[in-house]
Amino acid sequence: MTVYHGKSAKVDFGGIIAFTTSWSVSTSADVARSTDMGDDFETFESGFDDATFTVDGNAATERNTIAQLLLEATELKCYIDATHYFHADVFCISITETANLNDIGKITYSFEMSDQDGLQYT
Amino acid sequence: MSEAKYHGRKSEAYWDTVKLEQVTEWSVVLNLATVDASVMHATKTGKSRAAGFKGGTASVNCYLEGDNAIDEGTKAVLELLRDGTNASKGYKGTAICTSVEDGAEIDGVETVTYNFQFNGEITNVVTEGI
Repeated sequence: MTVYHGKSAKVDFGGIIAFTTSWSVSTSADVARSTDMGDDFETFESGFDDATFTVDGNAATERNTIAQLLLEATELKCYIDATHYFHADVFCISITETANLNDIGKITYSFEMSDQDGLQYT
Repeated sequence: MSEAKYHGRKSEAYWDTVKLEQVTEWSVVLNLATVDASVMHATKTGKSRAAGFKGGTASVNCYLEGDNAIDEGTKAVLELLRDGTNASKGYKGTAICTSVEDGAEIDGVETVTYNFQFNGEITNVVTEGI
C-alpha cells in the first residue's frame, strides 16, 4: 500500500505557486431523473462532470495576483508527489488575500473546471 | 528580487492617499465571473465555461479611534500594501465604501470595519509605500 505525505504535494498553475499549504479538489456529476411509471425504484442518467479546486497558502510579496485571473482556461495541476497529479483546464474564479497583524499573509485560490475531458490523473 | 512570505504586522492600508490608523487586518477578494458554456457532445462530459468580468471587494479592520475615518458611499483610491513597500506590491484601485461597522464589546478594544467594492481596474502596483 502506498500513502503520500502532504509535504510532497505542490500546485502548478502556469508555474509552481510558491508557499502553498494545502489543495483540494471536489468532483461532481449532474444526474437527470429517468424514472418511468411502472418502475419500483428511481433511475437516473449522468450528465456533465464538474470539478472545483481550492488552494491555500502563504501570501507572497511581489506576486501579481491580478494576472492570475486569466480570461482563458489554463491547466491546473495538483500534485500528490513529485510526479503524479490531478489536472484539468480551469478558470481561477476567486483569490482571497489577507494580511493580519498577528500572522503571515495568507492567500486562498478557488478554481472552476472548464474542460470537456474532465478531471484527469497523470 | 523574488516572491517572499511577509508578516502582516508590516502591512498598511491607505484611503484617498491617507494612511489608515490602527489597522489590524485587511483582506481582498478578487473575482472572475464565469458562465456555463457546455455543449452537447457524444463522449466528452466535462463542463466548459466562459470568462466574464473581473472585480473585487475588500475590507479593512481597525481599532476605533473616534469618528469613522471613511463614510459609507464615498469613493476614492484604496491601497493595501503587503509590507509597506511598493516593491512588494499589494492592491490598488478606485473603490466605494459600501458599509462601515463599528462595535464595542465589554472585554475588548472597540473596532471598526470598512467594506469596499472595487470600481473598475484593480492592480497589484502600489505607490504609497516606501
